[in-house]
Amino acid sequence: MLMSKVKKRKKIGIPQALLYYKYFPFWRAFFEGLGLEVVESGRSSKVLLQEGNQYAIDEICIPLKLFYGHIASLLKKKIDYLFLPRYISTSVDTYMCPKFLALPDLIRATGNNLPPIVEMSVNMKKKPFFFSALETGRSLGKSLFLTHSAYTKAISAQNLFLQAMQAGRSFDDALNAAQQRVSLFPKYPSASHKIRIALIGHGYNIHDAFINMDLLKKLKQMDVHPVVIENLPSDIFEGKTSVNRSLKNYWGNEEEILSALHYLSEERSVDGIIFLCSFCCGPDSLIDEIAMRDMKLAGFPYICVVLDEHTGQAGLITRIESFVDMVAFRKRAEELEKRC
Amino acid sequence: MLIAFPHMGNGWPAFKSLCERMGADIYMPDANNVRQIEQGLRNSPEWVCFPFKTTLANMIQALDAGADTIAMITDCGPCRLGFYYAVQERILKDKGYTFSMKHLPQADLLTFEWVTFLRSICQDPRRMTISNLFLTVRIFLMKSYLVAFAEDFEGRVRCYEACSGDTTRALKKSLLIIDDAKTVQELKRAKRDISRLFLSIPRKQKNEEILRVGFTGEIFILLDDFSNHGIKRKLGEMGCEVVMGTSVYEWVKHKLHINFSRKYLEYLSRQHQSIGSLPLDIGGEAIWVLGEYIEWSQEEYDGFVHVYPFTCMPEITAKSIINSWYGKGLFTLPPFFFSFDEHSGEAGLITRLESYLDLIRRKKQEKRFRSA
Repeated sequence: MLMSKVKKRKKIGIPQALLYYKYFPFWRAFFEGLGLEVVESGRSSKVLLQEGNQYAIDEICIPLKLFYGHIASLLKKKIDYLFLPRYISTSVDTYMCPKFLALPDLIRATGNNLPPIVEMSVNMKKKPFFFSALETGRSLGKSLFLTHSAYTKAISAQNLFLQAMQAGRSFDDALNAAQQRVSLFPKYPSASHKIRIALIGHGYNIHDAFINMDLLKKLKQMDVHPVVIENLPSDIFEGKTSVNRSLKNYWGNEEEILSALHYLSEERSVDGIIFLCSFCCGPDSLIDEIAMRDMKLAGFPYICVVLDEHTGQAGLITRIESFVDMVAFRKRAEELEKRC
Repeated sequence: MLIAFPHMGNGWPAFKSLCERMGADIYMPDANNVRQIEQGLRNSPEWVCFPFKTTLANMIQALDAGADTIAMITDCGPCRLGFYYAVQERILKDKGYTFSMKHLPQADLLTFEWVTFLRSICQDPRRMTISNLFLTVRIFLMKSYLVAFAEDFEGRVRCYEACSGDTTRALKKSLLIIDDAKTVQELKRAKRDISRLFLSIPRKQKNEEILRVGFTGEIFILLDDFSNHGIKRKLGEMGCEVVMGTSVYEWVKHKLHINFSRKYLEYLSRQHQSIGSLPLDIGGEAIWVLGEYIEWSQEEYDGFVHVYPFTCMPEITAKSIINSWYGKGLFTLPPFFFSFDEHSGEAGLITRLESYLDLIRRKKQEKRFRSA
């Protein structure tokens, strides 16, 4: 009897790309709370990219091309619903990148024989986040009560994920912690690593091991302790970042990047910053320029690494190695100066 | 105060009148050209969109020539335009120029933030009266309307001209007429003069079949002849009647919330949401481009040319959607896309354009053959 009940649960497919790396704990807990079974599309790979390239046009950025690939792989898994988030703005005065605004439309226009699409349209300019969740629940035919309880569970799962990330856990560990509701994260003993380097950029560039050619692992092999945005204390993201005296930044993701950059260059808790951005990324083309000029003023080691679908690793490794070496030399020189 | 503003296609007479009526001295940068944009390319971020580079080049030229104030429009997102003036100011100041950057917020003209801009460039406090402001705006609107009027004429008339180049000359002359007209009466007369100018162009005796092509896309690339390699002129010379998708006038009307043709296009786009059309404005001209594609495929159009700067986020989205619609056979109007950046080789562009026109010409003949 129990088995038949489990079998009846409908499957919802969540593509493991783009905002997955930011909001997946919320989505998973929310849809599980609504009584659906969550199916992920699996890790990004070369095969998925090739598949995505068949559907995507040439000029878009690689994370979006991979997104198409993830959708294609989900469609093979016989799902009942396809989840496509539409994050328009995540706070009152920010927007997301235009491609996120049109994500469901892009897939709807391109795909054939798609399963019913479940949208979550988040627009904090117009309505609170809870209302977006309610609409999603209603579109699935769930009651208000069920949606509300799923929403509260989901929020707590997301908070657990963020806490785990702040305590320095890896992305996968943090996902597991959110799933198993682990709430205590003992601090790791302070690392013996010589160098700490911050990896700044969009979540899908930092945590997707295929896009960045497993950069986090490579850094660890070089005896470098990588720090990502989610590891930083959450209170630094509260204020608004401004570009100059009259312009406030208006991109949601870039808000975090800019505040992290400012925090790191002031605090000096790391020795250098690597900015990962994907080729053709609209917002990052300007944010990189601003960051580069800011870091130059602050006299802080900074490198921008542009990622695209080329899979040759040698160029990336050489650049990262030379950057790490340079940071190490600099640090040693500073220590010697202090000793003298 | 010597004020300069970057070029956007043929819109300069309108913007010039705006500054002029506030009593500011104006320096006009040269029309965009290859040598001028070199400076812009050298100082711009690598893969920022092309308008950033040309406008930066205009600013550098103006500052080199002694301008001390630069006026630039700005927006509120989600497209990159809102960041333009801030990053450009930063780049230029780091380069060692001293100047002041005045930005004209145009996200919503009904918030009247543009009055602050006008006040900041106003040299003579006596000009800041309500009646003068009203007149300034009226003249600005009339001038931008006349520019759009002349450009529309140009697109429709060129395919009939007997002597190649007549229409381009007429357009240049009409821009000078618009620039010279300073009062409302003169502008009214200018409209008559412009239509006479275009109608007096000698026509070909025998015409090949005329193709009707809709020309739309991102507003800067669409209007700037240099940036789009004169694609409008080339289409006209190859025997196409070119219908412009948008203009500065349409844009200003939209920002004043009185552009009903654009509202209709938005409505069309929303109507087709089930097949993947956009339900909301995502920046750029994406939603109107989709609306235009839907509208024009229902009308007697033979072609659809969509131009945008390389890496433009909203227009790429629109392109993907139109591309898949046509690929799936939902619409029969053949779309054609061009993305532009600083590469200046024209041979590839002309070949592609010619083959596209061959295709749509054949399609038209086939259609007529089938219906006969």
